[in-house]
Amino acid sequence: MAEQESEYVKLISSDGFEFIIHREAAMRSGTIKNMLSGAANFTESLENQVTFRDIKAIVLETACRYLYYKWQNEGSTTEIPEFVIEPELALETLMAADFLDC
Amino acid sequence: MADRNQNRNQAGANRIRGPTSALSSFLREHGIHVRNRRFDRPRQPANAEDGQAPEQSTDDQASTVTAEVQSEQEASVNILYTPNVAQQTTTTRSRTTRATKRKKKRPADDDDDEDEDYIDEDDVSPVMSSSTPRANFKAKAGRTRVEFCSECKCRFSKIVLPGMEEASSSGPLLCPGCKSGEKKKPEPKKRRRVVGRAGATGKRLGNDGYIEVPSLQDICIRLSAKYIEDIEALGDIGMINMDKICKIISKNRKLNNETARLFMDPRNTRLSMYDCTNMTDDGFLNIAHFSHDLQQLKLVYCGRMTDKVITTYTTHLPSLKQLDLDGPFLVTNTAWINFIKCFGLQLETFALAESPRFDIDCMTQLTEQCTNLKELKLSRVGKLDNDWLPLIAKLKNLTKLELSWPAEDRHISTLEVCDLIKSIGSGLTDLILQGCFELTDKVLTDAILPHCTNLTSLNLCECDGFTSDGIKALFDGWVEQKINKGLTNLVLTRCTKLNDEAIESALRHSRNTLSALSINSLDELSSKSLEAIAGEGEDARPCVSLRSFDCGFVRALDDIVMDKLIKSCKALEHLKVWGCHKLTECVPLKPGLRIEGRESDTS
Repeated sequence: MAEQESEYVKLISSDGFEFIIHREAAMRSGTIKNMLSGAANFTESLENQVTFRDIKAIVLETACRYLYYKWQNEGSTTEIPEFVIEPELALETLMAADFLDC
Repeated sequence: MADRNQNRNQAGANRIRGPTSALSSFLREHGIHVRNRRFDRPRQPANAEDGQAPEQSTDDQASTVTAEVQSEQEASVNILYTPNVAQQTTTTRSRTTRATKRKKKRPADDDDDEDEDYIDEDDVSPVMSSSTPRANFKAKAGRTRVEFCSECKCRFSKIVLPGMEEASSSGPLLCPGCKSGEKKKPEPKKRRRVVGRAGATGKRLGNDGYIEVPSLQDICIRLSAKYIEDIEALGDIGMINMDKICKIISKNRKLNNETARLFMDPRNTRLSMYDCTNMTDDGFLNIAHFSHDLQQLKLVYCGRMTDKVITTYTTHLPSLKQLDLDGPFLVTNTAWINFIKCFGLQLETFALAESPRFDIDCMTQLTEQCTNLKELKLSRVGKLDNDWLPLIAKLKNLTKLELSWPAEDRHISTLEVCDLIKSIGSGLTDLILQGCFELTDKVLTDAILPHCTNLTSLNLCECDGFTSDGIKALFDGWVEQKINKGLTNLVLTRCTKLNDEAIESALRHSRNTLSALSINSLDELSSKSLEAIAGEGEDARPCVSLRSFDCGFVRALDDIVMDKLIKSCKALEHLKVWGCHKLTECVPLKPGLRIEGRESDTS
């Protein structure tokens, strides 16, 4: 498993959009991290892709943006920029963020 | 001489069992072996006497690990268990018994004992297995033991049959994978950095001096709070989802006067808030002002609620039927009495937890005014006492009754509870008696058995006075008289006196109906009763509708039982196995089943 670890992983939204992001970024989500690297061998960790049946593309996109934002700004000692979300997505993103544990 | 010493050390580390500290088991689990300083100190002079360089002996110790394993590989029968693979290895060389080993060991030790506080190595060497029993712990030895593979350091479980225990502790400990020749690289340990949640500012410094990145949840909650005045801007996501959002915000402990406004819709008829710690009077008053059509209201941790709030609710929530409050300890008895008088016959549910000021006068009013009450739940109500029970007996419409966790200086006694159940038991579907440790078997046999014929849910959590005989008599009686059709929910958590017979008898009665079962911390149970749940034993069938099962801290639960459970209880969705340390990852996960608390699943 460790040998075939790829640099990118694929996240698929409920409406079929595919987001290919860096594994490092994806690992910023507790849920995705567990799916990809848990002690139990999930299909997700073998195929390096995760399908979210409850997350729409537009929300998943926001989540992906956040994962990169977190990856980039972790360990910063200076002021970090604000992460911008459309207000109308706030609640749906909150539910997704709760699921993704990020 | 020195060689033999070393052999003995190695063998000792494998065989000797006893209490270990959390640190040593943790280190062992991670394959780290710490050499014991006490253990070495007296040895060196001994070696010097024998005319050997002490240095060599320490080096030898490391290098003889494998050699020793070879020489000590005497007759041993190891059956390695995995549900799919059961391997059997036999070697047939003669082996020395433990007794002879002990004899050999004595003279060497006499030389070593120069230190006053020198402890025999038996006491200080860490144990091989994390599943060895604790000191003074009387649970029977299990059939499987969790061991750590000497090759890849991974955990695996091994069957230990009676009489074989001795044999299984020597020889190389290899997991099925390593035995069959598969070489697995141990996964590199990833350094984990703990990033705490950012506060309201989002610019807080973390533990390590860096600026913390706020979590996406925090960002969203802050954003929702910002647009609270313009709810439409946040989009409509439906009632059920709003409840989910409320749970999420509560979980983040971000529910306050501002964010609570999200959930106050004038069209709402039910509202639940799961953590009101940060809400003040204004927040609670807003509920009455914004959602005046409420019929159900549930507020958890509403510690800041005052009399004023309850009084406002009595006047501003005309349709309220169900009230569930957790922690309103500031509300006084006059406010309660006023509230009860105003709602009277309208009130159907009254659930109160953690209130030291709700007293017998309030209870008298409640039983006189609210005769339509269907659900009464009193948990940790400080003044709850035996003399309340005759009052409760007047509530003839009750279907759900909870009397939980009476205060230490108050009593809920057998006789009074029996009388109460005799008068209202026939209507009850749910009975919850948590932490009433004074109750004895008489409650089960004289009250619940003949009267609670419609009962579907029984919770006896931590009622330590009940014994196996009582539980057995209750369920056997129900079976014999055919007066109760079966329970769907049974909680026997921490009724520590119960044994296999009690569980088997409960299963005989409710096998087909049971959907939730908790036998958490029933230490006396053996795998026999657990297998009965899976449908083994005489005239037993599996619990087909069992969906949720809490088997935490039942040490008899091992991989074999778990495998049977998963295979035969088809409806099982949620299995809690906290503290069942005999489990390994050998039993594969099943889609649709959530196993909570299995040690090997956490990375």
